[in-house]
Amino acid sequence: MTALGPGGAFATTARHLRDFIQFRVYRPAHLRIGLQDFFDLRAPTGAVQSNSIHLQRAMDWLCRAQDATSDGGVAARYRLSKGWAASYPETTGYIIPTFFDYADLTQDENYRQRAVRMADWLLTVQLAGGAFPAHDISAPREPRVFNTGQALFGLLRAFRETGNETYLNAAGRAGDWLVSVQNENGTWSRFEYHQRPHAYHTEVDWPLLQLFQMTQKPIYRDAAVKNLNWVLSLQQPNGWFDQCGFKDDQAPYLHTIAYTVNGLLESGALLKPNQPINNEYAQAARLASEALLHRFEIRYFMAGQFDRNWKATVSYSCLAGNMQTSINWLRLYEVTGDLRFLNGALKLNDFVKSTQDLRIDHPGIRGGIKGSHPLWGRYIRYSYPNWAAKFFVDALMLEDKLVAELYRQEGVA
Amino acid sequence: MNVVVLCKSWNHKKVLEILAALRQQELRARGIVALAPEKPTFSGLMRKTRERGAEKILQRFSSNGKANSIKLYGELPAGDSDHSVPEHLKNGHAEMTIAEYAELHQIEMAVVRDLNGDESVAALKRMNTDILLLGGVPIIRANVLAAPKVCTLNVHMALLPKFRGMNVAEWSILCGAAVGVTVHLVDPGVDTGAILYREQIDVADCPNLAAMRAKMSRQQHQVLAKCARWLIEKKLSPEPQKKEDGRQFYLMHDKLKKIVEHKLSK
Repeated sequence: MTALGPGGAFATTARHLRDFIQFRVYRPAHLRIGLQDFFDLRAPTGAVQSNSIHLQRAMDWLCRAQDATSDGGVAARYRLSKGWAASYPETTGYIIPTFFDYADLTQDENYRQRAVRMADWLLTVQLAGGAFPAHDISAPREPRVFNTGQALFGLLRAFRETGNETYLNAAGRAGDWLVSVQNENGTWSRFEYHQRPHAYHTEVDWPLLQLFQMTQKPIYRDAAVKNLNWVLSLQQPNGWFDQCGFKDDQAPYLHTIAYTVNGLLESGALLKPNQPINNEYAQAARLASEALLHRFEIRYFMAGQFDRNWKATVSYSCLAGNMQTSINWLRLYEVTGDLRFLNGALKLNDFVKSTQDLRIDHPGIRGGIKGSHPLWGRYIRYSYPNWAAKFFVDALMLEDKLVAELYRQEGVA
Repeated sequence: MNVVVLCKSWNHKKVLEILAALRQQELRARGIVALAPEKPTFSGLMRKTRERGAEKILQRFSSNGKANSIKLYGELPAGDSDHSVPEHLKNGHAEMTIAEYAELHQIEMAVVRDLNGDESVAALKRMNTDILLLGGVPIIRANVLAAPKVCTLNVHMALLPKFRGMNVAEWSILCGAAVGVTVHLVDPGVDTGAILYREQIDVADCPNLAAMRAKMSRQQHQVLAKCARWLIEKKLSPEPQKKEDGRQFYLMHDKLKKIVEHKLSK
């Protein structure tokens, strides 16, 4: 390959120049974060603030993302190129529990009210058949399996918190739709990304099991178990899950790998509450997590994409995936007591905290979490997705809880 | 038997302690193969700034490189006090480098750019190495491990096979396990080679992590030298490890180290 050929120096420079213009990197606030990332000027290790400060800034950012839309949903992301995006049903669905949790933590009713507003908005975008739409609501509304599963999280939590059956009824319709479009072998391929089944549908199984718990209708549990067993069949001896990415010709993002692991772990805990780790689903999650933990610890860095040998294929980090992985490790520590998982999660959290800009005036950037570090990494480039902030908040809240418990046990002040 | 030490050229204290311990066992190192210091690069400086904070880096410049965190010289090991040494290197606090020590004791020293490279293998062969001792080096590859005629030994700061990897003394305490050191043969895995000798260490008198590490560091070199002697005398029989008998541990986060400090202070 010559320097001027595809992928050569000329092409790379041209791509950076195009990005520079397209993503408006020349604007002062954008230029600042661009330069910070170029020189990797993150906060030094040990100089990150306490979790409560990082948490508060991320929650402030999520509130601004909600206020940026007039409908009550949460803007999908802040884009350097075009500003705030429209509300995103999928992620608004799973941001709802985060707001209820933060309201419990801070005893601030404002977050609870915001969560209810989000849930009310979700009711308005549910499609006639019970599904929830793909993409943000500026796009044509087509039903999507994965997104429907994520909306379920919000509806079920809103019902639990408020007792309003409207949410439960909407969740039931969504669950019925999911069951109705499932394939005989337990997979979902219709109404899915690239019309193919994905291992990360375990993250649909988990809310279906929650729906079963609330309604006691076995069809939801049976559908979830069928899919979970299909996902188990995809696991390789090294812990890797085939089909855990968006498409076959691309190394999966950590984001979707972490979804797969999380769905298995939480589904296992719901199906076998007395054996949260001694069940096949949690064991599968643990095997994959051990592999990731090793990769992260020996490189002191978590890459954004991996191949089926757990080899990093890129040099950027997918920050949402980092936080999802941190949550998985924290949960594994919680159920196994294996302190190595807690140790890894603490480091991952520190890394992402070091990338969060707490001081900049720009409302779309301050407190937000980038899709990639550096900003131009392939995952959600030049943007601050709401789900990265959501998983960041979840991870820090869980870290605080578990570390406080451990310190109490050990008598550490 | 020719004993050679593989080390980093700037790890003076550790290497001098090993050499002194060998002398106490009446063993003389045949040679030292040391990794040359990395050339400073812009990206390296940025990484250090991020990891340590700008203040510590600036402190290094303002104190002419004598900041505590970046110690350039080791102290003269106690085991060497009976040997004839130049005046400026006498007393327990004299500063001495590995190179000075090697020159003083006429030990051949080779400085190489890559411990796993051909240069390193050639130096080991030239020194006619029988037993290779690892003195705080990164993972050593099979080509280097094949160079010594008898074996490669490493001392590990925990009781194997349970605790493999890094910060294992801290992990032992955190997990409520016994603390100690293990001398083992080195294979291409991480601390998975056959175990030669284990010694438990009482750290009840160590009020904090720094004291514990200092005590263990001193003792581990003594144990390593003792094992080299016993190996030559054929008094040791290797005990193979099973992979499933232990787990690999990694660098410990400060929030967990706080618990270790607390346990030690009690």
